[in-house]
Amino acid sequence: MNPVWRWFHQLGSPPYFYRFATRWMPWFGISALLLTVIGMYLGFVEAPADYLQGDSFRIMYIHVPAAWMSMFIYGVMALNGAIALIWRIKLSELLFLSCAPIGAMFTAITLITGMFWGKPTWGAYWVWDARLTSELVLLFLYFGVIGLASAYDDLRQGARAAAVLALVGVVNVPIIHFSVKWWNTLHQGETVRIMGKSSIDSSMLWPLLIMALATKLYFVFALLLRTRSALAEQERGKQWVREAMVEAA
Amino acid sequence: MLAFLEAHGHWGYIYASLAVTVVLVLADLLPPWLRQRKLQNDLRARARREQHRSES
Amino acid sequence: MNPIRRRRLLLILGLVAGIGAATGLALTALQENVNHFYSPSEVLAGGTPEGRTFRLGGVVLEGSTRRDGTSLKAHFVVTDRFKDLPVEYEGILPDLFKEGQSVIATGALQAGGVFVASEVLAKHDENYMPKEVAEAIAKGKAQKASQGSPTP
Repeated sequence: MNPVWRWFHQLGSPPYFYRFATRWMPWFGISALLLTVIGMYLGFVEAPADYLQGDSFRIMYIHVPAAWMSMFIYGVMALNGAIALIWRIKLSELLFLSCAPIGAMFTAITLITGMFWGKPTWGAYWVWDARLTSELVLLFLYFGVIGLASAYDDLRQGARAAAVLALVGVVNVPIIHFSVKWWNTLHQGETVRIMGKSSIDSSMLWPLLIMALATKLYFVFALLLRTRSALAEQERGKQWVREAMVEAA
Repeated sequence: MLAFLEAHGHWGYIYASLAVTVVLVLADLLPPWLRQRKLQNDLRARARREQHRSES
Repeated sequence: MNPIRRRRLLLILGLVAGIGAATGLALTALQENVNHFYSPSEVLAGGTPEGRTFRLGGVVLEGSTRRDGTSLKAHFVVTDRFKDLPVEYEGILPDLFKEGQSVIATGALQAGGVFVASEVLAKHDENYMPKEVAEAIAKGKAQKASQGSPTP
């Protein structure tokens, strides 16, 4: 077996994952916090105001990374849901369940900061265009996953039922991404492109990329935090949990 | 509330966005952290009780 | 992979593909309704019924804005650079309303071919730059224009 696969198999074992999470969580948390402080300073203090929108464009340093995360986390969640359905790995079920509230938080941030950006730029907090509506559908999908999972008494059964819903909802992610291309929307097109030139000045782009990295690290931190405690709760009667929690103190 | 926001120009919207973000992040992090602490306290208390019983 | 797991994998792939295809078909059928606004060309081609409310989107034609001295009434022309449509609006225009910038107006086409708007929103584009850069670009463009733009 090659070492990457072996590591994956090891990670699937609860005691190993618990130790792994405990060891690495602080690093992810601290680096996320540090990068957020740097990104915020560069974005909200150092970056010049936009020629047209003035200062209100700075909201994008929260809005855009949060929007990217709302879709990225959905992908991670659906992937774990698929693994949970196919291989019935306990840890995937917990990772799947832990993704949903974090993703819902990022989606809520995206929608609310978007409203605070929309008012000064468009003149309205909310319009029912394809981009905004599909992002709202994403929030409801996250709520649906959380609600469906908690409707079952058995955690594992609930996770699998919610995983089916999450997989059905995957179709919404490309709709969000391409909505500004496929239809006429009030929401503008994409600014930062992986292929080709981004239509943003480099002095304004750097803080955005730093914030994008910070939110990724935050996600890993929050995911480890949630999954670790869910795992310990699920296995609370087991010897390894007592060892990890009582004797580590 | 919205009228208050609109009276403060662009920075009003920016601070409102920051405040909402901070609240939501705390709402995301606090519950799992509290759950972890509660479980840890429960298990430690039980371990102490058992130790106490075995000593007496 | 054992047969049970393979069957589950195929089932999931089939589910996702099926939902994707169904949604794709539904969205293609709804194409017109998902669009948030119509361009002046589409409106003038008869794509919208007279007297009914819809949204019009386009660029505010340079030099077309005219405000009534006594009221909040504003007149301007919305263009998609192919066709123009005159718009009438009474109310406060958004801060970012400028000639040469995009707007989306909600309203209805009146008999005289004038679009009477009840709401005007500014649509901004995906370009972000500091004021200095924007000025430098505008200056460069003006310079080029004054030189008679010799095209090779």
